[in-house]
Amino acid sequence: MVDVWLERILFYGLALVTVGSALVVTFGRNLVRSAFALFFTLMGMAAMFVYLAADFVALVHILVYIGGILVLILFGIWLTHRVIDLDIRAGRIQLIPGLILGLVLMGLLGLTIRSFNLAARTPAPYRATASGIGRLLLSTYLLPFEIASVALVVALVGAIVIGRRETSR
Amino acid sequence: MTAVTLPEVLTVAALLFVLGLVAIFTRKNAIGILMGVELVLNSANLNLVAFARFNGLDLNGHVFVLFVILLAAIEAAVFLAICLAIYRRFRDIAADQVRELQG
Amino acid sequence: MEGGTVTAIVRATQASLRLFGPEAWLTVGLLVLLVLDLVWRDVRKRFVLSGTAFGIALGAIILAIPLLSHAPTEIFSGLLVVDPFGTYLKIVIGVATLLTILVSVRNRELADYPVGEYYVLLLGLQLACMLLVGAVHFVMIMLALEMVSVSSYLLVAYRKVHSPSIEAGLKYIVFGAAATGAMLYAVSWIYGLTGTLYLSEVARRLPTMTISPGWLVVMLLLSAGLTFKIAAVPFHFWAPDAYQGAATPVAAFLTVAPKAAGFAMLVRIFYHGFSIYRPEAETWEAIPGLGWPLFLSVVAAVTMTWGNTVALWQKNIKRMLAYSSISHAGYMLMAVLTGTREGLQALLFYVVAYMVMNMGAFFTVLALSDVTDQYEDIAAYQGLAARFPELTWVMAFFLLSLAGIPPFIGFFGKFFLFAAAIRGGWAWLAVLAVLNSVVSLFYYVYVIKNMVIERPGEFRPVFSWSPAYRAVLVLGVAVLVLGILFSPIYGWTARSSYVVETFGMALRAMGK
Repeated sequence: MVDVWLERILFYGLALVTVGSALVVTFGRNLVRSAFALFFTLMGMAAMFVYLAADFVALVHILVYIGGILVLILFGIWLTHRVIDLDIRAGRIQLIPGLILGLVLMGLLGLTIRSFNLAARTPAPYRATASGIGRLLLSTYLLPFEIASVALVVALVGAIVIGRRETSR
Repeated sequence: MTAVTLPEVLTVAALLFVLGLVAIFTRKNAIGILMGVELVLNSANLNLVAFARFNGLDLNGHVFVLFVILLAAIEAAVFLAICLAIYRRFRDIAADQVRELQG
Repeated sequence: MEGGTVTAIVRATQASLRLFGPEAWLTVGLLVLLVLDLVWRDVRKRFVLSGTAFGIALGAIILAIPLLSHAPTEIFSGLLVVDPFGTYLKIVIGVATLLTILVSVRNRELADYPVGEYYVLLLGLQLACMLLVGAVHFVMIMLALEMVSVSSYLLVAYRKVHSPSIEAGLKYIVFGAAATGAMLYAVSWIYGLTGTLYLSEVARRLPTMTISPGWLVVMLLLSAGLTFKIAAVPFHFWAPDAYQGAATPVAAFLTVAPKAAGFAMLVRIFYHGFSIYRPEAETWEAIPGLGWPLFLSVVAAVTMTWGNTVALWQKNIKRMLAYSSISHAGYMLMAVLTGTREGLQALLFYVVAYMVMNMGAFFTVLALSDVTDQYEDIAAYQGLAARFPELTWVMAFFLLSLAGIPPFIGFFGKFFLFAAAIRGGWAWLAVLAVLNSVVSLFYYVYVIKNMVIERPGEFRPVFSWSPAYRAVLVLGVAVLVLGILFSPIYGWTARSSYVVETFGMALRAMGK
């Protein structure tokens, strides 16, 4: 009984951190603050992945999202704005329609979740996932695994052409 | 009182999804929009991982998440490259100020 | 399936690679092009790289042709499928790439930008489209779709010192990322509810489940992502900007290849994943309770009407063609809705007709851009007939064909589409489409009228042998000849629309 309570407290604590910081990401006035809030969202997500028995995914999530994408976003903010605190006010023009849309959508998704009989499903016991994922990547998912690298090459080549300074050749 | 059930996890994911979409629609700044996109992709990931666990820890879901993370990285890189190019042209990347084209 | 010995994996991969020729060739060619771009450093670089790219694209088509008559087979553990339907579309995509490379060589709009990377992006987009055409597993679909999207964003934004180009790129990626996100979220639900990522398995498990109303929301989100790629209303905002902002060869390519791949994706997802095949009637019956035929019919109706109405007001020829291509996506959606073999056949025929006439129209604009500066404003087309008689003739062919006037291929395309829609039980949509075709005549003919209007002053006919000029003339002949002699293509579509009841066989054989 005690461990069930602990589990719930742990999960809701994580959910609070994740969703709370996501609120800052969405509604924060200052873009840099939003980016740092995104850090907490992503960390909360990683912890939830671990809770949901996805240890390997959590690790990759931290490496790529926090080590890569978040750093990229911060660079983006700093590269495109010289004066940090004055210029980066995020616009809030269509905030009210956006909020209404969000609430309607949330209600709809809430109904969706309720309409399926999902509460009866039981969680699987914890086990290590890395070796199983490795097997899958090199058997069933061999092709997407390879194609992913081609996609990366194409995207990065294009991104470099567009992102770099000199204009023509 | 029982352990955490699947609908509770899905609700957290749905909240993230909605917050991400609201960010995409209300943010003026392109990088703010990108952060909204990351929230949306993360909500899908949370869904996948949750469903995988409540489906006998089906690793296919985990592999899908890995590919989604890769897609997110590609998209972020390309997004920021375009933002940089825009910034060089306009010195400001408020998405709604970019208005040479008319709908 | 998770395990399997190494030899088994190697053997299966070898068997798969045999049917993976075009894509494998493109992948290798792409890397060769990248290296060639680094080492070749003289004035002839543009022509050498263009020639190489042309050869690579041509090779992919040649490798695909023998697969046209191959019986439907699943490869790479059921992630991809090789069937006549897919191969047919792959060849169409290949031809579109070839034509685009041909007109890119001496294009003025692209002259200031790096050439090697441009072809890498173009061939990458071709590869992604071809993968999307064959994908029948959600991981593969999302990966290919994202590759299509990302290379499209980059190609649109490629003219990075040209403001409309990068603005359109930003707009495109913002909408695109939102659509991909929504679709991904929907896919995560589909995975969770059915427990599988294979489309054929989804279709097998759905009938055994109770379909609760929540499925409607899931399908709505999924449709949002899917209709974005084919630029259907209400997810079309990006399209006019993207086509106007992008260099004209890129715009022409984007209206054809990713759209063909998008329609293939729609067919795969909705037919394989959310329908039941009835062999005796050769129809795909939508699984009840999912509501996708309703969503798609509304989207089709709104798309064709909105596209045509807005096209009436356009003053810029590229925007006009963009809205016209949106309305054509609406017509083609009708074919997807029917769920009959006849509908598929009409879709396949229309894709070819649409490629010839739409690329032709864009290329005419392009050929004009090589010889005159007044090529975007429709009002400035006055007097063009006197100066460019050949271009005026073929442009009239393309536009009349787009409007669906008889001797041209567009007429037969529309005829098959509308007939399939009526026979498939979508008569109201077909009537709406016919009305729309009549409306569209106004803005197509307006351009022709402008071109033939006399303008004071003496003009001498100009003729140039630029690649774009040649491509336009070839397409102009094609739109007429294929219109009169449409039966060979129709024959191919008949053979290629024979598809899919064998799907999931390999999967079941593997004991999953």
